[in-house]
Amino acid sequence: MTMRFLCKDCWIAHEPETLLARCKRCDANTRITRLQPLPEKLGTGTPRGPLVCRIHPSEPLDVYCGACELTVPPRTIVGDRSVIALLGDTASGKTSYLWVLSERLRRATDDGIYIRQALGDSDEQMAKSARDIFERGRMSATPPTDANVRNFAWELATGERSTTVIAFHDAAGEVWNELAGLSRTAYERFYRYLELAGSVIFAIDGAHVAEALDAEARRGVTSPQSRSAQVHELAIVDAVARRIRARGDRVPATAVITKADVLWDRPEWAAFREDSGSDDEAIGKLARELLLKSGRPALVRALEDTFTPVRYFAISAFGSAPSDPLRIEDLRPTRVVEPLLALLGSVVTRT
Amino acid sequence: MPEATLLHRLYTNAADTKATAGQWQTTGARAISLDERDAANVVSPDVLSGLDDLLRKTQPAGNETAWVVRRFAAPDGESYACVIASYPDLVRDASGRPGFLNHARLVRVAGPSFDVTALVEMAESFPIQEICAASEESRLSAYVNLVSGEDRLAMRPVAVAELLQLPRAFLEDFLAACFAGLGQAQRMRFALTAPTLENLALGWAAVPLALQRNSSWALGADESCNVDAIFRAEGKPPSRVASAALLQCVKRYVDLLDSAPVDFDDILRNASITTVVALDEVVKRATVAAPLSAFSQTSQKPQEMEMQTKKSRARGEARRDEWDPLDADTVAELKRQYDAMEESLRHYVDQRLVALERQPSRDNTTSLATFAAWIPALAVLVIALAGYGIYWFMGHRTPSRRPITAAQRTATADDFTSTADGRSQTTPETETPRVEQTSAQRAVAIAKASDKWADALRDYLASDANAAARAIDDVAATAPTGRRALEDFASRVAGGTDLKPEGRERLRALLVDAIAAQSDTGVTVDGKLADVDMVRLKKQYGVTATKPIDAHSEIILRWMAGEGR
Repeated sequence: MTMRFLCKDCWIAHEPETLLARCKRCDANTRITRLQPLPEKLGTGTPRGPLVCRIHPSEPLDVYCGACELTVPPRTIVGDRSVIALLGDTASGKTSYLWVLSERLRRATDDGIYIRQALGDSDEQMAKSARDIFERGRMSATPPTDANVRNFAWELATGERSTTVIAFHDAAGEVWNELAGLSRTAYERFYRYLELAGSVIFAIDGAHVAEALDAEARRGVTSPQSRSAQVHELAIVDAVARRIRARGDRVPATAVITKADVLWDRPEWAAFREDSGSDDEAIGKLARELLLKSGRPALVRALEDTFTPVRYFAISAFGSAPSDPLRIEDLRPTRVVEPLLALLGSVVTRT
Repeated sequence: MPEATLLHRLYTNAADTKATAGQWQTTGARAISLDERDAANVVSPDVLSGLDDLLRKTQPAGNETAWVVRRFAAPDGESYACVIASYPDLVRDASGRPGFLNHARLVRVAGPSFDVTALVEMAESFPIQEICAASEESRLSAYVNLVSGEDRLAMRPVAVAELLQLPRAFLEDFLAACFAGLGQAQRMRFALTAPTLENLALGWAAVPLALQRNSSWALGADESCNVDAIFRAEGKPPSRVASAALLQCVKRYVDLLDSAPVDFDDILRNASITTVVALDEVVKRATVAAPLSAFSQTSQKPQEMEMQTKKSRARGEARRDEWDPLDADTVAELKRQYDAMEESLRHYVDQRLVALERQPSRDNTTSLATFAAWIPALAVLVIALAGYGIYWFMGHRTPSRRPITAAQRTATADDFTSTADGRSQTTPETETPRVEQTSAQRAVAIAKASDKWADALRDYLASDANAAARAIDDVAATAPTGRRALEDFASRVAGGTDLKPEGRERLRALLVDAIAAQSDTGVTVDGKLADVDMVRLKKQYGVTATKPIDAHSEIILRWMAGEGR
């Protein structure tokens, strides 16, 4: 199987023919710095060894994207499930979730999974995304830009000698909401990201879920924001479903109820707490039940018709409702890693 | 001063405080209608689409307001000048998160030139502090109310005299940045010395009209903003990004501003300058023919004026009867050169043929790529034949051309049919079919014909770099010393580097040492030729060249061709 190298800035999974390369030793000898197509520079190194120069077999090649000519780290080898689409309405907690997830994975999970290294400028971009937490004590709204910023890729260590690459783009909720009519020319990179996505995390705002649950209980109505959130969630799934079906792929998904801390004090949902001792299967059943009880049966059906398999989770990025200002030392992320681990069970690992 | 109607467009994720329980409310970022002043009611759908796309993607890079300036082409040949102000953390969204507000001001430009500084000044002078002083919930409505007072803008053309106030280095850098990625929206980041919005807007007025239509830039914006150039502290200096040719073009253009502001103004308004190449051509012509203007006479230093007064317009073509006739020696030399060029071209074409024959066709059909590989060779052949035709034409049409005598004709024929030892070669009519030769053997043949071995070696290194590099590697492999130096040269040759005369001299010396060392173990391969028995070596390879540079080259070429081993 041909190795594909991901340029997370262009969202192109390159085969070697579309990459550029440079040998530092050739550059020093010729005093000319230039990029050449990788096949012209590539020597016959050891199998699975580094890409080396044809003229200087001991010199590893620097590899670049053929489109944007930015560096492509040689370990950014992607599989079918490496690119993960993080879907969700505005203010559903996508950026917060990604940030705490990346922070949580700096140390190994119980399964021994951790971030081995950030690829490219992922950490710098993540620091920029989360900057407002440190400067203003509050996460700010993500702007609806194309997928040329807020792109992250990390190499995860998944076993004793195995690693895998995961890559995300943190798209604004407006982009997902308008996906059906989004211009392909104005959002070229976003569409490429979407076409590469092999698995999905769908963020559902737990605050709106709780509000809808309460409204159902009292047979009342929800606020316009909560109502529009439900509509947006379904519209996002429908828009993504069309693309998934067109591809004919079997795409796994995790439906993640964010801000689950709003439900921790309710006895019927106390299992979502970290110290509840519940396993993933129990959490999943309960989360699915919560969605059904909060007036989202259409969403559940749409998810299960579109993705295979679908797992349900309830997480809290901060461990409590965000105070104003937010203090880093007060953050207690809860069950944030489980959705990703569930997807990784479907990811092809590299040994 | 004429005035134009000002249009607006707001894009923000501020919460809509007017929403009621029964009202359908859209959360997230959206355009806010400004009724009759909203650009959506006036501009074409294409312009609106581009404007909304830019508004969505504009974000400040930090905590300061970001600015974007560009023009949108209108369907009827006119355009809209646009200035966008992006305010971070001005509002709160429906979830209480810090939000942004992007405000675009547009004005229709109908004249030949437009100074955007007026629009920028209006945007900069907007009392944003008043908005910040209001409560967060009321800021959006307060902003909309304040904008309602902006409905007209005084239009003013570009004043060249104002452009002269800009520091020259700043203007050159700014123009280079604008032209480097003109019209491509590549979001190239540039760092300028102390950029201010006012100076940038004024500098943009120096961009010719037609180029300005495709130009866009931003100050303090995030890299998501789809403009040509983003000016930020962490960008690169334009001189490191723009090509040398572009920097020269900009320098000449700015020189014209100093030396001939009238011509500069003409260029500014010239609607046919749609590319930077066209601008360069026009500037070059204006530079050659630039008359002294009253303004430049008073401001230029004496030596600059002296330089300018020495310039003269280019003369027209000389008439045919003024041509000097060519003498026979010159004709012969031209013929010899064209023959050598033809030989070299044949050699190149044969090489390409061999290379193409070795490449297996993927689908056993003739591919366009194969044909395309021949296009450069065919083009060179056509040019060579055309040049030969011109030489023939000049030789036959020149009135005072002396006819070649029979003796000269015989001597010319003998030159090409006799070898050094007097034996005749076969004539072209009875020439035996060409035996396939290596590229090195061909180089030897060319050198024999021209008796210029150093030139032939230089050309061989350039024309068949891979074969030459392999040969150098081969001799390096057997060299007792100096292997690394030879391998480095092999890399440089393979990489197409021009070794320059000193590099070639060094390479020749190393190769001669290495070749001599193959049969004489006492030779040290150090490029000094100190312990090389040149007499023996020349005899071994049948060297006929007398000059050292040619003799060394002959040894090398003959060795590469497999002779004398």
